[in-house]
Amino acid sequence: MRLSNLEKGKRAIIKGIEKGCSAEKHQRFLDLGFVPGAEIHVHSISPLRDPIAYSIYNTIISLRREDADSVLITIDN
Amino acid sequence: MSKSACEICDLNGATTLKKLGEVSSKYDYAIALAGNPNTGKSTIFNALTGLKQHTGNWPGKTVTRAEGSFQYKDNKYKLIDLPGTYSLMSTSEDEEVARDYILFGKPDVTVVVVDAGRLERHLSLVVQIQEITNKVVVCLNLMDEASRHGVEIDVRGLSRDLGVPVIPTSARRKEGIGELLLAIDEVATGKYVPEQKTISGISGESRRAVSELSQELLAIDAELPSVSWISMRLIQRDESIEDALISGILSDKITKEEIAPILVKAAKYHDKLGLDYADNVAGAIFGQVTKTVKSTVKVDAGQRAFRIDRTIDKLVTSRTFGFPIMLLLLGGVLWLTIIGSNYPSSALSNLLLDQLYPFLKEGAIQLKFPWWLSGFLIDGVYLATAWVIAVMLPPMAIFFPLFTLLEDFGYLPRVAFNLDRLFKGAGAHGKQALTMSMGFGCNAAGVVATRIINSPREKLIAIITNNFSLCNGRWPTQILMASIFVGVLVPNQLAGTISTLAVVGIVLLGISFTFFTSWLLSKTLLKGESSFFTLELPPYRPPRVLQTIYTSIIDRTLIVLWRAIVFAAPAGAVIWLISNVLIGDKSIALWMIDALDPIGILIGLNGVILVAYIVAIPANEIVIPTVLMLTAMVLGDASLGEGAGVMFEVSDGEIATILYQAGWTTLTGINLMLFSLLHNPCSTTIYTIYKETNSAKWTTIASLLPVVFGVIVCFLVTRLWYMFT
Ligand SMILES: Nc1nc2c(ncn2[C@@H]2O[C@H](COP(=O)(O)OP(=O)(O)OP(=O)(O)O)[C@@H](O)[C@H]2O)c(=O)[nH]1
Ligand SMILES: [Mg+2]
Repeated sequence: MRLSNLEKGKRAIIKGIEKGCSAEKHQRFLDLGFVPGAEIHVHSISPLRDPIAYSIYNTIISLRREDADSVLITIDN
Repeated sequence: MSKSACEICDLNGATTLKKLGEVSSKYDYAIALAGNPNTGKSTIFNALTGLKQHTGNWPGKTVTRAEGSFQYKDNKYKLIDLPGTYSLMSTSEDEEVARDYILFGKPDVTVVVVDAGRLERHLSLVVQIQEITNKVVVCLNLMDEASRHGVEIDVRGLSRDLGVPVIPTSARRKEGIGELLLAIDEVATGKYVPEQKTISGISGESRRAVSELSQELLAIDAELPSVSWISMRLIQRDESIEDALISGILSDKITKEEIAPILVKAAKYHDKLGLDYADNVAGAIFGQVTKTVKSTVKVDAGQRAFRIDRTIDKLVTSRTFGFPIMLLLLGGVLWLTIIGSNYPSSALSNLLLDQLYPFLKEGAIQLKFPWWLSGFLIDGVYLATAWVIAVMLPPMAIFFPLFTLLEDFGYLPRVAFNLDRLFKGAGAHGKQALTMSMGFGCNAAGVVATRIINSPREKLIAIITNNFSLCNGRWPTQILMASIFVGVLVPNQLAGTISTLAVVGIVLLGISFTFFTSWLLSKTLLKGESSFFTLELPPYRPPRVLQTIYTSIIDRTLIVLWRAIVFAAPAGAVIWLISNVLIGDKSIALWMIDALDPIGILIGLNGVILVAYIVAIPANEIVIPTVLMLTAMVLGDASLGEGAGVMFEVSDGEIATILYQAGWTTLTGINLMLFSLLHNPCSTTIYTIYKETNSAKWTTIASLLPVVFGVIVCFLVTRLWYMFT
């Protein structure tokens, strides 16, 4: 499942970054803590539905939908 | 955190601190302030050096390196404030400044400022820096906020785990600064030697690759700094590092021939380990940090403070209220500024123009100044300066504190969050909302702030469009025109509100031009993919109202006012000269005005306004005084001023009378408002654009494009106006 599909109110665990994305973007994701095992949930959605702010490692980071597409997750129960 | 007995005792380190301001002389040790964005580095820098670096509650406030100095005990220290950086692997322009200094600036001590409430994230940078140097002090800042959020930290345990001194501080209240100094001193002088650490959990193969490359690098230059980091980057094929090695920037001992085989080897490792390598390193770092945090931090997740943050965000980013709240805040700030500056402005002009001016003139007569000297100095230099102070000081003294309060609260990044979708549609970067907001204070500052935008294409768009943010220097023009020509169209009680709405309208028009121009550029000259957008939304921080008002008046308002005065004084001189030096039977000013009048009239302005904009290229602040002085000259009515190019009335009523006499209409007023929004940037901004882009072409485009828009818009408005009246 992709991060862009994560619904509000659900918690997820990051599986990894999609292989197709550029090395620079990949690194940037890692720098921001999008590493396998990290917990993530939706903090808020902007008025025009995009971008979405996620809470990860206690900080709020917003991503555009197409970028959130590159993050693979599983739902945490 | 209450003050401990130690903090107020005489033996406390802070009492032996001497703030030395800028770096002036030799220093014994260089100390770098590193850390993630928005952790309070600049606040600590200010507390230690006595300097006034700007601080603000959003990531990316500092974009360049700043240096200052202080003395502690017997040693002099140089302190370097760096932009925030999430990691040492980052490649954005502002983060690179920080990264390069940490890696290659060889500071004697690196103080890593971390947010006590978000250790999992911030310690990962600490761990990376420890991989390079053992001379690290961790400053656990924002302790007050952390305890408000129910975070409890075992500081000793953390220090033991990391192997470096860990000092809890609340920089904004100056708590813990003494202890921080002591730790810096001990590490710098070698009294305390922190442990050398390496990241655990990196796979054997990755480790071996790094250590092999490191050894080969050290074999050709034993003093190469940060080798393990360089090796890591080589395996990730960081071109800027490869180039720096090949060209000898990193070490003059290394030759091209020597480095070539190492690069080949690194490339082989890259192919073998691939992206897994980056994942492996990052995973190891976060894994290690999570373990440390688990054993040293207790969080009470049900804390009220968290809930408050969530509630505010729900409201200010909500579908229904997000945009109305933005508009309301914008309108509110403008309204307070316009209404609030009315009284102090007229009080100031009464003092400087009605009282002091005749007094100075009288003095000049007493001292037997020749007419041209008293004209030049008092009617020229003094009057223009007094004017600028009277019309500029009050709005700035209101606007800057209000803006800073919003900024410190943490609202600005939410604006960027709300507007990003629109910027994306225009082919621009969401962080442009931040640089645009900075532009409302000063466009030159807005242009520098564009460094937070990584992609060169989107950065250029942000630079070129920054001028559409109505900067503070242009507000007096807007406010005056709105009250004289728009406010009078409605009954008195409504005048203030309607004038405010007119100015808000101009600001919104500027924002639309920002979107339109961004879109236009991204479809034509600056085509390209939209880049990766990430934006951290910082926690809301209750601003410290009195302190904010004090510092934003002292630091910002006075600096900007000083700049205005520096430009106004010579401009006053120039205006007086061109009004009084005759060529043939006319003054130079009249020649210019007559020549430009036809063009001016065509676009619904007049020659005086165009000449004023030429004279006022150095600073927008002086447009209005120039317009008025030239108008007084053209009218040549002795009852209005004191001769050619002299103008000293400032009450709105009197100015209105003069302007109407000179043939101005509502159309002229509205067009002047439009032209003041849409014309070339001031000279400081143009120079800043050149420095940022390093390109004459883009500087020219950024300077001329707004004028072209201005002429077109004024022309169209004029045509429409005549069609309907
Ligand atoms: N409550 C509280 N706020 C603080 C403290 N230290 C700094 N701040 C606030 O945090 C915000 C960020 O401070 P800065 O000093 O600008 O942070 P910075 O690390 O220089 O940020 P960048 O330059 O963006 O990397 C400002 O609004 C400060 O007033 C603190 O100890 N407690
Ligand atoms: Mg800073």
